[in-house]
Formats: sequence, structure tokens, C-alpha cells
Amino acid sequence: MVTTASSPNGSASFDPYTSVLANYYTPSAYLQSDLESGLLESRRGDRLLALPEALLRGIYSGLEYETGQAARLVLRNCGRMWGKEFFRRFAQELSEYYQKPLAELEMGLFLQNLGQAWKTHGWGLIEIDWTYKDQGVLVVSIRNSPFAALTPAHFTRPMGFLEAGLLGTWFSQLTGQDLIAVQTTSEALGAKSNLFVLSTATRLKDGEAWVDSGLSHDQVLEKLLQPTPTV
Amino acid sequence: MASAFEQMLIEAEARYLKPEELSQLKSHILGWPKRQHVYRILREQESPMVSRTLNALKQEMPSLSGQVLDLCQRHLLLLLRHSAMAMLLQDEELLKERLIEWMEEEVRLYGLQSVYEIAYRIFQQELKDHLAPGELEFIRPFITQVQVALLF
Repeated sequence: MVTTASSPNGSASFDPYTSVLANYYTPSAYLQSDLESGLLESRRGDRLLALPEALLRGIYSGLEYETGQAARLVLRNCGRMWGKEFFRRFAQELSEYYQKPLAELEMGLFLQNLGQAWKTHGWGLIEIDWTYKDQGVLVVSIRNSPFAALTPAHFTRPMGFLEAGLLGTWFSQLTGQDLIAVQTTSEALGAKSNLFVLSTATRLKDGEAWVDSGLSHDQVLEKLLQPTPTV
Repeated sequence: MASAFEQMLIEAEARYLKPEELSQLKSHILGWPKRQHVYRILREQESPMVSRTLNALKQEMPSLSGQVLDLCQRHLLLLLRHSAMAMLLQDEELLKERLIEWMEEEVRLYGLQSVYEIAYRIFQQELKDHLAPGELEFIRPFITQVQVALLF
């Protein structure tokens, strides 16, 4: 069991054999593979799955072939389920490691672990922009996303529905509100990062349609931040 | 990721080590007793060095909050422990992956740059006070590597 060597104000002595808690998701500690069995596991012993590029490409094109427009919905729902599981595991892992419930974890520490978890799982570099949080909107940026990198070239709009679903559920569980995410820019379309706007499902219900009609990230954000007209 | 050292052994899979590789291996092993000696000193001296640094920091910056001091303490412990391990194994990558990336983010998040400019100055002095010059040279490059990454 890991305990913290925390002693306020630096007056106490530190036990050299007690770990200082820091980055749970350090890749070399978090990812464990066994060559003999071919298994990939997390440091807690949870099975990890490697997604080969060909599989991701196959998912995109297979879904499009089989379901056409509905592929988006399927991807988003997969993302939701995935996000739910991922959040559950994330919460469990961190509360075990830091020995406190997730809700009591310092915000800074929480965010850092989130970023590191994303990176270590190979999903890119995630950053959260809180500028509009008082207006009920979050902007999430993900750079180097493998999901964007493998988007088939013929799509002319952001296709990160898997990530959008994942982020939506993730932040819903975190905030206890029904949030959804809409992707507004994509690396696949030459943008510097994949931007997602998050807000309540009611406010963002037309979000995908806005993106479909060609609105830019700033325009979507502007529409979203407009005070709701009172009828 | 494999350390430079492991990488060398992987590359030499089905051949003999080249003379330069062999001498690299030899110097790694010959240097072990000394590195282990310094490692032990660091382990023993960690507590006084970190406590004294924090106390001196509190005097120089009396307005620091308990939370920042706590964080600072955690960082100093991490710095020393990871540097000691990196020195023992001669693995700079370890320092980068396990410490620098993590600390960089926290220093930025909590705006600790100005605090750490002072903390590092004090800590470097503590190292000097607790280690002989011949010991200091083993650990110092690692501490400095982190310092440079965080403050410049």
C-alpha cells in the first residue's frame, strides 16, 4: 500500500521508504506488458487493449459502409460507454493511489492526472480551457489525437464522435450534469488542435447542426454564449 | 522505454559488444560503488536537507501559504529521489519521464517559478553543505538538469 509522506511545513523527518505521490500514470510505471503471455496491463492489473491503426481505420470505414450517417451516432454512443468505464476506472485508480475520494482531490492534481492519463493511454495531449465556465461552457483541446490522425480523408467535417462521446460522459460524471461535447475543429482538417465545446445537452442540442452548416469554432462558441432569448 | 544502457544490450543481440560499448559497460560497473555511496548519503541526508531548505525558504518568503510549502516539500523530495535514482542507473531519460514533465506542469499551474528560483538556490547550497565535492559532482548535473528545465 502506498501512503503519502506528507508533513506540513517541512519540520518533520521524511521516511525514505515511503513513496511521495506524484504521477500515477508515468508510462514506465503504468504500462506493464508481459512478453510471454502477450498481455498488456495497467499497474493495477487491469487489462489494456492496444488499438492498431488498421483497426481504427477499419472501424471508421466499416461503420460508414454499414450504417452511413448513423455512424456518427454509433461512434458517439461507443464513446459514451467507453467514457463511463474510463471514468470509473480513473476515479478508482486515483482514489486508491491518493487514498481519498476523487471529489477531495485537489483540482490541480486532478487535472494533471487527467492530462497524464490521456497521454499515457496514447490519446494525445488534452487541455481544458475554463474561460467560459461561469457561462456553463468548457472548451477542451486535444492535440496529437490518434482518432483524428486516422480519420478517412474524404470527411470534410470533424469526425471525432468517439472522443466527443467520451468527453461528454466524462465531464457529466465529473460535474453531475448532463453534458455533451461537440467537436468544432479537427487536426484531420488542418487545424492546430481538436477543439471540443462542452455544455448542457439542451444548450448544445443544435451544436452538430451548427458544425454541419460550416460554422467555425469561434462562431459556435459565440452562438452558445449568447444569452438565451426569453420567450 | 529502454534506457540507453538497455538499448545497447538489445542492439548487441547476436554479436559481441564493440570495444567502445564494452568500455562503456565497464565504466558503468566500475562507477557503481561510488554512485551507490552517494546514493546512500542522499537517502540519509534527505530529511535534514529538505527541512532546512524549507525553513530557509519560509524565512526568505514569509508570505508563502502552507499549501505552496507542502507542494514545495513534495517537489524537493521527488527531485532528490528521482535524481538519486537517475544517477545510480545513469539514466537521464528516467528523470525526464518521471519528474520533469510532471513538475513542469505543476510549476506552471501554481505559478511557482519565482518561488523555485529561490528554493533551488537554497537547495543547491544545502547539497554543498551535506556532500563532499567529490560526491556533489555525481548528483549535481541531475539537479541542475531539472532546474534548467523548470526555470528557463
